[in-house]
Amino acid sequence: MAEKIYDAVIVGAGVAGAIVAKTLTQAGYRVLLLEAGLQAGLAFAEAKAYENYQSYMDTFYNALAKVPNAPYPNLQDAPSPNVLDLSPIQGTTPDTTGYFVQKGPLPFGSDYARTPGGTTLHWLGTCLRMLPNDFRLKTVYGQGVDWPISYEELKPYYEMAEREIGVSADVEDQIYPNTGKDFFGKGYVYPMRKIPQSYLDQKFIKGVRGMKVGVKGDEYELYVISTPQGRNSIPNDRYNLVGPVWDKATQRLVMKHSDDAHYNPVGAIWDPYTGQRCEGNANCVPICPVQAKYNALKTLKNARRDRLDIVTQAVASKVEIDPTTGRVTAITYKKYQDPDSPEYTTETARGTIFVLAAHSVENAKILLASGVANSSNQVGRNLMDHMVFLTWGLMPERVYPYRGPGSTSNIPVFRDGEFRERHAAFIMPIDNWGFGWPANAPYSDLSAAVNRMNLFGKQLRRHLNDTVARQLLLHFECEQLPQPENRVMLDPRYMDQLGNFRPVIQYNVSDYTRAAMAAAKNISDQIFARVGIEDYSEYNPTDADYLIYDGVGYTFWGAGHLVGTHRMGFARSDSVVSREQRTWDHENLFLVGCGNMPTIGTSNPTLTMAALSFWAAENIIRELQ
Amino acid sequence: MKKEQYSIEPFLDLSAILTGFERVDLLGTGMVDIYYDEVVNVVGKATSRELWETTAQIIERSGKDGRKFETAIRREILASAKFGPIARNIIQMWYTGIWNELPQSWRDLYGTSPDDTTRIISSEAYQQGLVWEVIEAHPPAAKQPGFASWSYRPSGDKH
Repeated sequence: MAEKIYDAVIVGAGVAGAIVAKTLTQAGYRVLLLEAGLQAGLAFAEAKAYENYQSYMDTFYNALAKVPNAPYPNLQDAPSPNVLDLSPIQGTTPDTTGYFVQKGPLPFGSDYARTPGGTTLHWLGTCLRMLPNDFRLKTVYGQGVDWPISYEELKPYYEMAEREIGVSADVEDQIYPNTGKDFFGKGYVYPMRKIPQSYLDQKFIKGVRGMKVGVKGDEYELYVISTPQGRNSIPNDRYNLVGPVWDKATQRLVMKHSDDAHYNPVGAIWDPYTGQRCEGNANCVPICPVQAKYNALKTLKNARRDRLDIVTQAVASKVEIDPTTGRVTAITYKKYQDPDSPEYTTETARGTIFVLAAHSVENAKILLASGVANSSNQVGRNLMDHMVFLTWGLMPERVYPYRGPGSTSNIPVFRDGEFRERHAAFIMPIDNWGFGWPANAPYSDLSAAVNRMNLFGKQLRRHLNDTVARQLLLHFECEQLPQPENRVMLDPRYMDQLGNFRPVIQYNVSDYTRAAMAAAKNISDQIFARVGIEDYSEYNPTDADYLIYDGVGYTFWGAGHLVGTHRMGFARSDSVVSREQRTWDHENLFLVGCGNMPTIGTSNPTLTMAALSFWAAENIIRELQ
Repeated sequence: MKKEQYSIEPFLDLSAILTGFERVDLLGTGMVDIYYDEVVNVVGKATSRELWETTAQIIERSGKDGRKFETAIRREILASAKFGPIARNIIQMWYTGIWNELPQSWRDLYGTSPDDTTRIISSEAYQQGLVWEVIEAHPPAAKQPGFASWSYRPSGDKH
């Protein structure tokens, strides 16, 4: 291919890259998208798209361990981290089992998927906005840092993201602490009505109604709300927004109000009539069989294809800089034919603007490998995740878990409050899938019943129905603060077979977050006592992420919310990108993705990342004009 | 007709008493022949034939219903060093579509097959797993019950 010069070169076909590609091509710009994953994953012709997705389904069905990355190809030439590779780190010897080189002291417990569509292929789909105080954590609570963007400023972009993803929720249900009346714009409704709350949720809500919990002498009244989700439900006929479109007059991306606007749920990429509603497959993670749940391929499919060139099996390895101007001149990538073979050709992509959208860890890796955008010495630092603390037990009556989306309700009470001066905030999703995550249920229940309890026949059936159908799992997703020593690093001793770096990760959890886990356990104990739940929670030193706080042991799990590795800030001295999402050091290099987020709050970060991607696209269009 | 078709009958009867499902439910999964072949293939023709014959003798003696049948199955099959591990595997195969590697002590005594590994037998086997019906759910990513179904109590009063 002759070297074309594009208006923009984007690295990564996940949600952030897809939104920027779609927005720029629809505004008339020519875009090249580089994707490390396989060509087959980007098929949009109906038969090919279906065939490829069914190959993911078949791999999923046949996988013994149905972990988030189970359905997707793990490529030697562009490896992905896998939660199956996790174990406690022994002493100071790094654990090199998986793609990550884990230096610890705690192993980093989250994964992502290097495949077209990115990790949205196996995200849960929770779409909560961040809260106003999340953007000013330093000012209000003296913790972490403030964002150079306020909630009010980001609000219109949240609306764009909620349309793009297709979020189902009822505004009147969405009551959060300390948000005031203007959290949603006047008359705003989500594109689709809320996802019905599970039978289990309803039983749980009945159990905790009116309950007050005490935490360190303070009392909080619990309430449960439905969770906004990026999966298809019944369109809201009051929804009247279209767009976003580029508005030349104001130089902004804008949503337009139109009385004729109807929101049509976006179905599967192989058939618009498949996946128009969530069908209750109870398998959002690792794969929605009907694509009723949003994934980034839907966005890419709606980019203007006549202005978009996509090169797959192309692993970006270096950002090239003109040393006199500091501008990026090209991105060098390694193009492979066979994902298991170390053979590749080196190619270059040229353009006016360059956008890294490869994932927070991969973006940091490319920047560090290129020695660019790092005058602040913040690239790779401040890696954050939600520490998922779980408690589980048997409800006094059957609640029939293992049905519906992974989680349809949450308790938002501890998402914000003065306690944030002392310990981390957390959101409490109520889970619909029993003890599956922490205990590999129902397989573990079956094995115990058959092999240890010596049950068979009707007795076995009665036992499993009476116990498994009562399983309840609560989550406490605890905020982690930015810490420079939690970081992605490079080490030439650890390379993949294409000669690209593997991420070396140094990671720990501070007392601020550990204290939140202690508070969470205390709250869980009170809820279990109130509802009459028999506690089965168990935390063992052999768990990969086991830690001690105040003499008590807790286990946490990764949330898959990898945030902060190239954060935005007010000044070039302590941040990598400005509020425009442009690197301070190179005026034509933009970064998108969760790596830009200075703090993580208590929202699953995809919605905020999507909003920021529209925000970045707007700034890029302004630059290209 | 398959060569060993006659042995399907005792296999089906044994599967029904072990799983707690009716023969018609098991036939409805479409997995009977596949699971029969799986057992014969892994434990060998001689051992499996012995198991079918033992089952047939129990049925001849005690009929297919009631306590007497259950007691005989427990004593002569589940408690047998040779048949017990196979029977427990048959339950778990029907419930999950997974063949579990037999215990090492069993393999040492009765032989090993290269196919005696822990694995999901097939996509179909996973989707026909009975454990999901037992807990009044459905296999994740299969037999989806439809929009909003999860917000209601399941309708089956089977227990």
